[in-house]
Amino acid sequence: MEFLGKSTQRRLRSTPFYLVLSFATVVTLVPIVWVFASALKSNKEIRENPLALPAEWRFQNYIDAWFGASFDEYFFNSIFITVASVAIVLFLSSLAAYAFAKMRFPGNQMIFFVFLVGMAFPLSAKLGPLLSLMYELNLANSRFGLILVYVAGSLPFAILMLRAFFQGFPQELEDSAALDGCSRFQFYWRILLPLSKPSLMALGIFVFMGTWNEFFQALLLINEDSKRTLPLGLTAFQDEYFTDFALSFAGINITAVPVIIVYIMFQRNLIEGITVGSLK
Amino acid sequence: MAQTLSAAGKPRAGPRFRLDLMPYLFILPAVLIYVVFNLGPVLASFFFSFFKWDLLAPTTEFAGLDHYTFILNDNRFLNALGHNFIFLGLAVVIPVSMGLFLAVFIYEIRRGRVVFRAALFLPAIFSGVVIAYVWKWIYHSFAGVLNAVLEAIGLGAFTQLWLGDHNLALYSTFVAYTWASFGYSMVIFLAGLQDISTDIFDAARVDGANFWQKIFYITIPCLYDVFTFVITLRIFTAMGIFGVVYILTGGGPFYSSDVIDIYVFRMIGNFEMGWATAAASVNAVIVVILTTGFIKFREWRSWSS
Amino acid sequence: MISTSFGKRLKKLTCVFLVTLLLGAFGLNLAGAQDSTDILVWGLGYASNYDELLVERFNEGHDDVNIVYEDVLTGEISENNQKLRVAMENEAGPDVLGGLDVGANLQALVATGQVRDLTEFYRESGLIERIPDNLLSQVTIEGRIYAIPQNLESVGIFYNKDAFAELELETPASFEEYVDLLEAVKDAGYYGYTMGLAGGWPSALMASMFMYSSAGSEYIDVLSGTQPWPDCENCLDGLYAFQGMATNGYANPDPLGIDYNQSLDLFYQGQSIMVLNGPWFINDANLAEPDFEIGFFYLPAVNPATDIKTLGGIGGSIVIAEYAPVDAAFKVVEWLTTEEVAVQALRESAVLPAFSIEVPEDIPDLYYQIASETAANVDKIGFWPVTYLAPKVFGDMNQIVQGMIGGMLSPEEFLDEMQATHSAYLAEN
Repeated sequence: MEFLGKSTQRRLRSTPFYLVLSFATVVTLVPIVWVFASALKSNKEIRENPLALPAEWRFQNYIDAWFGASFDEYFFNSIFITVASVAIVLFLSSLAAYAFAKMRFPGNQMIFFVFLVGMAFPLSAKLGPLLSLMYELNLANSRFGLILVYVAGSLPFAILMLRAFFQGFPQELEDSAALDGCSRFQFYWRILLPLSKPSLMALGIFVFMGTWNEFFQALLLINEDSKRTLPLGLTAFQDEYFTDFALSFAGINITAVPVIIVYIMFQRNLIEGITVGSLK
Repeated sequence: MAQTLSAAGKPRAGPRFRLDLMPYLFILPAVLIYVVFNLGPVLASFFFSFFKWDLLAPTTEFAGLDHYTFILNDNRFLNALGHNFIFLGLAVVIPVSMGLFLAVFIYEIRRGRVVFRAALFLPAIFSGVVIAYVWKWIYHSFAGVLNAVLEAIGLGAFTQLWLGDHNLALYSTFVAYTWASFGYSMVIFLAGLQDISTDIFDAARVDGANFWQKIFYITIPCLYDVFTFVITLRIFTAMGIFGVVYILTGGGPFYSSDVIDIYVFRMIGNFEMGWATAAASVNAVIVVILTTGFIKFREWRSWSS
Repeated sequence: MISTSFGKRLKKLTCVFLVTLLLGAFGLNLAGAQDSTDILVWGLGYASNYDELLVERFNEGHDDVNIVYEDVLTGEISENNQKLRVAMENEAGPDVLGGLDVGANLQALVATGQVRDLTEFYRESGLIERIPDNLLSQVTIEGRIYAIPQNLESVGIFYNKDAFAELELETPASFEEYVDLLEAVKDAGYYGYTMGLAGGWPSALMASMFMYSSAGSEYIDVLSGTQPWPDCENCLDGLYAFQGMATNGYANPDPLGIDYNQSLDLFYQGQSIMVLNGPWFINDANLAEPDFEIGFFYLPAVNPATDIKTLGGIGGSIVIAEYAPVDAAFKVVEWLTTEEVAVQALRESAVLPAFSIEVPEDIPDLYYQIASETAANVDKIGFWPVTYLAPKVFGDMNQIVQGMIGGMLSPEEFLDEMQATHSAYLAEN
């Protein structure tokens, strides 16, 4: 192979990798493409020829799902609950992580450990009493209650991740800020947070995905149709409209598209959020 | 700090040994929400699994181990637990090895890394609900794409009742789970690979190591800690699987794809809070033992070797 | 200086945080408490679009009482029951609820004191004379009346009239004739029984229909726990008949892989030409716009000697929560039980009101046929048998039926499984 250039060699060597990867990509994406294509077909087309592409693009399916099946309400509930949860998680976890990472106080290690404990249990371990508690506090069947539950669920991981990140900050930074007359909160607010933007971004996107997609707790805690989130709404919708094949597919897409958009925009941050937590 | 404060004409907050309350103020809101809405219910669940439950509010009537004896003698519970273990066994092998190989392949190529990574990770971003409905349509027996594809490529003999056959239902849900989870393992492995110094790979190439030798003698040992994390994550998701199975089969037909979290959810729905919390607690203990045991074992292995 | 400004800031933040917390926590309450004559309704027991229409009409005509309608109960039956009972227990549920199952559900609500005693209301409003005794007995517990039967649902076979005409088929008069019919349909390449059991509740319901139609009131004894399941020989006949729908090739393939709703699509598309269903089905079918005409006949009893003429029963009942504002709630219920509303319900959702069984003649043929046959048999109408099972046993039954249809259990083993789960439940409670 001496006569071949280095780059040609490399290209030859990597051809099988490209082949395998392309095959894997096609197999992975086919279901998604198929769902998108089916959402533009008529019922008859889906039933008679599930593999074909749409003969004509029927965007009406989306309009019917959005207005006819309250997907507009589900969508705004999801947005509200997710954005509020992310904001609260970011604020509270960064505050706490800063204390855990940079302050010495009795119980630091122990309280941090208590947070870690919360990550060790599966979701079902808390559901019974949670349901009871939410009714006691009048927070069942309320968006605000759901936000609190989601925040509580995301805090341990968020604190773990941010604490690791904050520990990497040089102590001199804080010392010199203190010399300039910065209180600890001011340091946190004016210096630490701006410098942590990439990490907060990564964490925020990660929490966004988790909250947007959550189903189990929403199923248990939300009753009213007007308070349902998208995943929950999708199940109710499917119950009602399963015989309308095209609407079903449109409903699936309406639930999936926002995460796809966020994913495309923030792919790097999301993957960072996943891997930072893991490689620490 | 001291300087600034005295310049501002204020005495120090107090003697040195006085407790500094500031850190507690910083962590207070997080602790409050976390304890009330997360850790508290978990502990309460353990605690109240020993009491009789009246619809929702636990009573003071002590039930001892009654709920535990019931569920541990309940074939449905053992059946569901068994399925979780089957899921677990498959999950630590299939999505993990798929993720590893795809990560290695992406690492080996030069152009298009980002595109492949993004495309292969895509299913992992969806809600379990979306995943389940996508696959419900794929498996659909008369409008589904899977049987249609099999017919189209001449494998009509292999068409199946993917969700309706009690021998297949659990594995059909596992395929949906795999589709949505190998991307996770992949991106984590990929990040781990990129952390390995390229010198090692270059040296191996000079020594004439082939692709498989590189994988088994360099990649896998170097990714030791990453493996630990990836597999721990799988233990967690396999033992806590809910949404995908709940929507695809609801545990059926005849409990053939039942899993613990569906069992718990069903019990809550039936107001059998005692059984529900006992079952959830057993599952939680198993998960904690499996994950911490596994992590400790890996730490011990890496330390002793 | 700095430390005080910090302290202030932190205080402010904490305050804001706590206030948000509190506001959120009590927001729900405040919103609900502003007007004492708001009546929260979770469902009136008809199709949801008709429910909403009724609410609108009521609110237009009443200044002092305002119905707040919430669409809650759209999920699985067991999920709905759970949500309802949990919410009512915590006084966060509806003031007035329609469409409630009589049976185990009503008994549970009465036992925990969640629903109002309506005996006086019945007397004062004259409702007591308008409701047949056999229906009244189903909502009477220890001499007191707790619910208002709303509509009567009789279950039967809806069939594709065009296909029947084409294949020259006749509606059957006995179960033997029904089986012959199924054979003929099968030979012609169609499905005669539409079956989708993946989703849960239809499994238990369908199997129950067959057991009920072969064992009659004996089956009720089984459900109430006074007779062991395996001792019910007649139930076994019903189970064999039901299982035969799948094993003899009368039903569509993959009955365990598709939901009930999915299976209905086979009917709308003409592949399957009969479906066992209740009157609410007509509305759904109309929405699907099939290109054939739909007919109806009663499923002949598996055992002709049984005392059951029609399957089905009270489709739903109205209850008032204990915590509901009394006068306003009664106003709503009074209006709901007027002749005018009832007849309109019949016109628009093919539901025969329990308190007004005179069927107007100017309604669509199929509506008229079902409603008048139901009315004629009102004294023989039983009730939905499965509503007498505890939710846990009912849920198990869904899976056990799947086991029988999927060939994992024989009908005898089905009865053993039911006995095991039922007695385990009774022992615990």
